[in-house]
Amino acid sequence: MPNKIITVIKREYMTRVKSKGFIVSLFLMPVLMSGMVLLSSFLTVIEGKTEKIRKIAIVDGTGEIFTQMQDGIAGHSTFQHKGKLVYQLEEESVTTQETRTALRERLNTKTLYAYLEIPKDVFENGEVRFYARTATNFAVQSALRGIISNIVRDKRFAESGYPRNEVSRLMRSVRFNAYAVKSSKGKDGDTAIESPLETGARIGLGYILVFVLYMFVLIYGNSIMRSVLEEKTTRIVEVIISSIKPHQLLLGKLVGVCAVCLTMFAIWVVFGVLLVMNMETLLGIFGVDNLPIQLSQVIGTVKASSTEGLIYFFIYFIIGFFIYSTLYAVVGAICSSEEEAQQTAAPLTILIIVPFVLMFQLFRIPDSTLSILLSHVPFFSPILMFMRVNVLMPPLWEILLNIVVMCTTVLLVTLISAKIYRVGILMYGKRPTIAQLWQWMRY
Amino acid sequence: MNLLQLENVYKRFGDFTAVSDISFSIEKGTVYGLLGPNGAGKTTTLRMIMDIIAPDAGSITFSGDRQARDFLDQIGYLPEERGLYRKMKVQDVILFIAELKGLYKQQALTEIELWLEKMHLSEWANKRIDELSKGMAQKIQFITTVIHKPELIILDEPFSGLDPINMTLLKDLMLELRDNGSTIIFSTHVMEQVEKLCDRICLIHQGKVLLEDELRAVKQAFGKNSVEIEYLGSLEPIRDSDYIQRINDFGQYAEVKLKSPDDYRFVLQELVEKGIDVTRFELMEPTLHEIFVQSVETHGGTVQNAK
Repeated sequence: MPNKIITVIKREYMTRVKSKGFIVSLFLMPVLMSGMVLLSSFLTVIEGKTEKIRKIAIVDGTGEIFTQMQDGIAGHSTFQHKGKLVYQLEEESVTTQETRTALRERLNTKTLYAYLEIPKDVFENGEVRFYARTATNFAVQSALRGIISNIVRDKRFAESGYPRNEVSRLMRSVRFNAYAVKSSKGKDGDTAIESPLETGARIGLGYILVFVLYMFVLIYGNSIMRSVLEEKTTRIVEVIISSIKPHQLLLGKLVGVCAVCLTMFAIWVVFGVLLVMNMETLLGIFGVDNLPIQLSQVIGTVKASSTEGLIYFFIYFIIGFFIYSTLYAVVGAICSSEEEAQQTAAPLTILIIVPFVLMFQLFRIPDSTLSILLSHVPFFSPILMFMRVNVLMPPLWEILLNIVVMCTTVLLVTLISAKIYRVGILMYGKRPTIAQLWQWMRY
Repeated sequence: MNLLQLENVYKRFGDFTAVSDISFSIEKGTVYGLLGPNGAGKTTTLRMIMDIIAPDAGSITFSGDRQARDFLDQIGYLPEERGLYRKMKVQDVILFIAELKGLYKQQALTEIELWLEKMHLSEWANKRIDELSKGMAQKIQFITTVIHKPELIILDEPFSGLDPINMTLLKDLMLELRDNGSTIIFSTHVMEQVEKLCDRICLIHQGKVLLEDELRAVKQAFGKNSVEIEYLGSLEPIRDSDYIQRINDFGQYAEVKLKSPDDYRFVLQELVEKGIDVTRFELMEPTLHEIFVQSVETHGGTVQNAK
């Protein structure tokens, strides 16, 4: 007699792996991921860039800053595009109500990009005001602030008798780098430390893994929900559960879909490992013989920390997948149409988004009580505890405790869900109330 | 030997009693019709037989004293509303269900080929379900119901939505399966469909059994109290006859329900007396529909949903 759960797993797995969607995401996801990283860095670079000449009016209350500002922007990369200066300054010497109105009028007709009001007492404590149609062009603003600050500082130094060309040397900031001290021993027997670049590479890798975990739980949770719904609306579920128990069907479904995700990860990991291991040869083909020291450091870090990172990734993915997917399956089971299911799933989706959003703040304070507490909330753990593992490894006992708590949660959620699922897949029409769900659990 | 036996089965959903004290048994190798209007409790009864839902009281046993769990692989079930995985290929869907029913892959593939051939669907084996017409999909679903050669075949409203050709095909298949030793129980709310198909029927209404017997016995018990008349002219003169309960007049043909089976001679006499040109006058067995209406009335109920 063939094993029926295996039959269910096989169907869930094969229909998905053979689908176009799987093949497409297999190739598209890495492309999209690296595309997003590239795009965001590209966007930072192009901020403030323009093909057209932008005019900035300077209302110079001091009468002496304007000329120096022109030199300032000429030497600043923010105001250049393809080697050409694309910003133009024009001087207004006095601020009267009329000039102000005229300037604002020009902003609105877009003949002026922005205007600056520099007060007479700017050398003492006066406030420079930047006016533009949008106040979010931060790159331009900070470049202007830098230029004016330099001019003002130069003047203050000159008045105090310091030679002008000495100022930049005197004002240079100290070099400041952060090194993470690890609990493990390094080669020289001392505690190992991590350079800023290595930290960046490790955290970056962690970020990508958390993001993948989040996306897959969300996407495949929804996929399971729709699959349950399809079986319910086509009534095929009645045929299936006449040969297999509902909880076996649910289990088969979850395992099958989880295997789909793991297959995709496995392919990526294999390719990723091959890529990283052969990075030097690969770059050699493109004519890069001497690897820049930074790049080899990054590659080294990825090589060193990815094994551990991936092990935790698989643990937390599987736990997260089962917690959320079981709930998505329940949503599918208690609804009767796709629209209804989407609405009902909303709170569940928020439950996944919340830890993901919190992560962006909490990773700065990985050892705060708040971070630690939140990372032990069962539904947040897959993302927040995994974030902590990536940023600052918690003590082993904490991780083990967390895994035990999570597994218990998975078991509880599955048991409760299986009961609701069993009743839900045979109920049509109105969505059940919470009170009814409670009743179903005790059938 | 009885293949299936229901004894005093009850099922309530909240305040609503779906099935109340239903008992019947089905002999091996027969076709059994479960009849009643929509909402009578037919689907609930079938689901309880399938062990999809559990009865509140009573017992359901198979082949003597076997429980549903030991017998489910010997059952083929066609649910009331139809559907299959839309994105899957015909062959894969049938294979999936066949494996769930305990068939091995090779065995299943052989059976699938035979059945697709029989249904003239061989060239559709590798097409997706959503490329099929509704009629074809229904045939595929019927294949999934019988692919594992079940001893008991349960069909919930098998004829609904079928065109006349497929209806005949399905009827022939059901009789063929019965002749090969399968036992069939099916539900319907369209009484005419069962007339020539069932060996035994069960009329249920509002969750209760009104009547349960062999079809022949049922009809005999109700006697021949209908007359079919073909005539020329008008039936108006006899419309107020004391012997007639109801006339269903179609113009040149009418079904006349008598007040008592023996009244037919008086009606014939009246027709002749009033000078109506009768070309055919035939005493008929009551239709199941009439039997059903009458049963409900004698049990003090009303027929609301019956078609």
